[in-house]
Amino acid sequence: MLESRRQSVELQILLASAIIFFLGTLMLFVTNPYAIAPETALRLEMGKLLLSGLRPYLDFIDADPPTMMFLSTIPAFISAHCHCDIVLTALICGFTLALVSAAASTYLIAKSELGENPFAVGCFAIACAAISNLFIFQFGEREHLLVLLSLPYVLLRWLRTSEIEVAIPRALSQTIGLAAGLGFWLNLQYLLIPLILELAFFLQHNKPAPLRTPEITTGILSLGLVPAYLALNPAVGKIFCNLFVPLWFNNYSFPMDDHAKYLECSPDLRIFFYAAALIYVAALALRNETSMLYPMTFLSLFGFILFITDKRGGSAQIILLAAPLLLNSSIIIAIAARSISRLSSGGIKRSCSVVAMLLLLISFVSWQSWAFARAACLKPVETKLDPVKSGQPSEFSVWLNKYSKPGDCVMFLNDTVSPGYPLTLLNNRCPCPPFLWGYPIRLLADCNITDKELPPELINSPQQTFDQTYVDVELAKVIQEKTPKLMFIQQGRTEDYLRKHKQIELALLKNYKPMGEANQILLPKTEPAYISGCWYSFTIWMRKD
Amino acid sequence: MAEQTNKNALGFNTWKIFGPALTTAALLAVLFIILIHPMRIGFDQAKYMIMADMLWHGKTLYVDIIDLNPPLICYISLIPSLASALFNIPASLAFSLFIWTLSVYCVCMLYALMLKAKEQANWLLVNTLALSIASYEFILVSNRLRFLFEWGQREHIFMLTYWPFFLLRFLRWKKLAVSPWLAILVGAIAGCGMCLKPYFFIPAILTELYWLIQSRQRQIRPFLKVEMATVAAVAALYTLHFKLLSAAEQHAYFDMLMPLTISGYKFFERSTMYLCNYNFTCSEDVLVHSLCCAALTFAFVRVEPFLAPLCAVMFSSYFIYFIQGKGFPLHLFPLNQSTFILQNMTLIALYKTIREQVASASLFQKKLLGKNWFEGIIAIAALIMWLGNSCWQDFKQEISTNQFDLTSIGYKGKASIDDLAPLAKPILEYTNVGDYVAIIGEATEPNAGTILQLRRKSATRHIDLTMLGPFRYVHDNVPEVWQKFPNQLNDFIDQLVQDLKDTSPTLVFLQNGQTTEWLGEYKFSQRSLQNYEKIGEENYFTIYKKKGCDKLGEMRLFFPVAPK
Repeated sequence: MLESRRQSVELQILLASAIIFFLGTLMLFVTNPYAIAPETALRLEMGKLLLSGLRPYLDFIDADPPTMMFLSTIPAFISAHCHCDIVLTALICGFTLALVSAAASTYLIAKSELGENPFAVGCFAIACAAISNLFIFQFGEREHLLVLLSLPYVLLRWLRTSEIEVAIPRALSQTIGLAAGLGFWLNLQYLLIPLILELAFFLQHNKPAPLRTPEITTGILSLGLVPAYLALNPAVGKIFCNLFVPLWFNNYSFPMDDHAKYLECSPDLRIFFYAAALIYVAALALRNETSMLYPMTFLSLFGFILFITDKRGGSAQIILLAAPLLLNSSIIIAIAARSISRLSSGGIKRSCSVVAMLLLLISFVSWQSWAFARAACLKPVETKLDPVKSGQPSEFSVWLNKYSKPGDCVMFLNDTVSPGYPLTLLNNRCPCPPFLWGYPIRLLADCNITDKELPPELINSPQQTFDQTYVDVELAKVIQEKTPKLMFIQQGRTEDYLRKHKQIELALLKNYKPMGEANQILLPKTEPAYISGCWYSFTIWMRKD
Repeated sequence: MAEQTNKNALGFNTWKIFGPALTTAALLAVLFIILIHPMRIGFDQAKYMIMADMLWHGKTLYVDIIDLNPPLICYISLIPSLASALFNIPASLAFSLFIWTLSVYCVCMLYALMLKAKEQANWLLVNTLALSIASYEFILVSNRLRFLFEWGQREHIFMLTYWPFFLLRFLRWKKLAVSPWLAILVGAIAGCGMCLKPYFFIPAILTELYWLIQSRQRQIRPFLKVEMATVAAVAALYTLHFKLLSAAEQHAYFDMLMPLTISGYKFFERSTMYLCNYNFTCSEDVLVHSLCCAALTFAFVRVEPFLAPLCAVMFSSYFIYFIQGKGFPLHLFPLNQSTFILQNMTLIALYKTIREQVASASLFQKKLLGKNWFEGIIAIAALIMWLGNSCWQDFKQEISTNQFDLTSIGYKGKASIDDLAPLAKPILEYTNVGDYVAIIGEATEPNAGTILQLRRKSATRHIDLTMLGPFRYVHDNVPEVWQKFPNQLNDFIDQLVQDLKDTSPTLVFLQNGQTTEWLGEYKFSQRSLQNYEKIGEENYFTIYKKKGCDKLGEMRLFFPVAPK
């Protein structure tokens, strides 16, 4: 009796800690409603464009399946109808999703064999909250959304392989399947995850996990939503399948940016690799304690492979590697805590509890302080400085504020989402479809698609098609029509590539004048991530009005 | 434990015979390749051989011979250096034979340990491990670049010394008794391997942690074994030996080189993405391969529990690669090799699973699959074909190239000219065996290799100028450290100038580009090369000859009789 009451107290304390973690995230969003990840902001813009009637891939370019822009229509819709700030709305929507995902996942853990261990349930809830908290500047990016949407599904599938019968409400299973199906369509590679999971369960148990379950049914249904949309919109479907998917594959197989070796030579993200190595070994050692460690490890190994093969090393890309590790480490800690609580005397137990709580508190407070300090830096600069008069490279937001006004169209042409987003969205500037960002200019520039004599594999290739349609015609048209008030063109290969198109060069020189420079590398504001080509300055071109 | 022992009988007879035979064949193939390439040696390895030779000749480490690394590798290189002198064989060949002997030791110890623990002998396991190691040695030597960059490097030596220790510890945690003398030998050699670099203790620590967590009793007894004491004793002795070094050595190493190295080695450091995607080492493929093998380990660990500690070694290699942070091929070696072994072990686990499944079908049970020799014959045929074909191709390539007459440098026989490091021709034409030659360049390549192969002496205490970059890095980026050594760069150049004055080499090779620019800032040429004349350029080096010295002869070559 006393034992179970004490366990209940421990569980309550741990769950309260998880709620504090979540509150920390919410606090940061409310106090810094501009701390939105670049990709999240870009998809939000796409969500707005979708609501305004534009068609994806045809009217504006994107590299990935349309799931994320569809999801982004929800905050865009709420914001439009409730007249609230779109960024804050998106952050709150994401937060709600994180909360629901954590609640569902913790519920599933409580129903599993681990439910007997209050530390496991509590630590797992903390880990769920910590994922969003730790990757707060990647909040709402694809990798983060994938984890939120698919985590309950992974746990549910694991529960299905469990030897003990677990009754899960049918509606919950269906919802979990539906969410996971959407999550797996966030990126083409993620479609492999359900297959890998089922294979892992099969190898682990020498028999497949039950497939006639509600989550599988709704999962398959929701996996069919994107193909159904593409089939119902044949023009969109055709261009997505014939142009953007091949381009995506080409971009993916492209070698690493040579410049990346000189970026940030400090140990940077390696800490995640070391943690991964340790937690994988611990998971192997504790494999007989719980089989939950297996699916999470598989997910993490898959994330690790994606991180390496993607070659960009963005901090969002580490989420799929790190989040399952975090969850596994919570279970490992819970197993250790339970062993200590069973073995040791009352005094040792109390000391361990106090130390653990102190560590938790210190790590939370220090991380939160860092996050708040970092978020404050992300606020767009408001200054009366005239960058032309200063003659020095200035912040992008300074240029925007000084030489454009809300509602003006602006265009960023470089090979990454930042600095165009979230700046365009935060400053209420309008994008210039079809180019919301410079994808896939790097790919085109590196394969010298503008050369007169192309190798056979590039003739009539997706690269050439894109170059001859979107760049040569559409982009030139945008510049000729003087749609953007300001254009930010990254020097180096992006500018070289664009200038090889005579139409663009002529239109640019005729309609725009260079004003000065903005230098991304000088700015401490960008979230620590490798951004290829980031040390090239941007030339700012202003419309000749 | 129970999940494993039931499977041990599988393939016992087959593997007891064929396994050692295959391993021996692979090691003999390695020996063959070594013997037909007596001059082949990597640049770092050559440097340590030269340093060992200088030690034999009474020079003082870090004072008369400057290097940034801890001294153990120089001490180890004393063995092949002595063998080279005693048997009058090329130092490069002596070094290769030494490493080959180490690989023979490695596989012999694996078998010896398994024989000693015969009550639970898992022949499939030990044969796969031994054969994987032997095959990997062959892969290394049959690829010229991998031979140069990895064969005999510290990581390679460490892994060869570590695997027997690993198996010994595996047996200990299974509570199997092993002869104490064998344990002491394995522990002592493994201790030497681990002391080569501090990171090399990580695999041992991580695997011990794995076994500790995995054993439900959380017992301390397996730690209290003679091999652990031996490793600790070796590490303690090595640490204590620094106290026995002369005051000059201690001062040079601890007060100058070590702090400068710690701060300056960042000069070579690269970003994580670079380390993950370095084309030269194919690190992306290696990492992805290792992660796939890890996934297979998780899938098959129930079939073969030995996969788990092996996987722990593989993951500990991540530390070795990423902590060093330079992306050099040698740093990737432990990961490469452990992944290769893990891959083979997982394939064996897969084979066992499939075999059990198929054998359970009554149709095949007592027919073909019941006969273990059948798989053995297939395995030995495939391996012999691979080894034989690779050896034959290498031999054909070797005899079709121009041959260098080894008698011109006091040895017997011939060697392919392709195995000679660059800059050999002018050295052979203008100098004799034992003469001083100065090759002044930033990289270890080709300086040490050329000097060692041609039996010349380094004219300076700096066999290469590897440390020039790190010193300049500290000078430019870490002023708080540099202020403790404000004259280090001047002293460095003064040492070079003084050495050239003392040894007065006939030839001086000065690397073009950055090295010349950096040395130019200290007026090196004006101070040292006044008495020299430029006679040409080769391999990005400008060649200077001492005025008045004439050509002594021509490089003696044999041409293939009928090149095809």
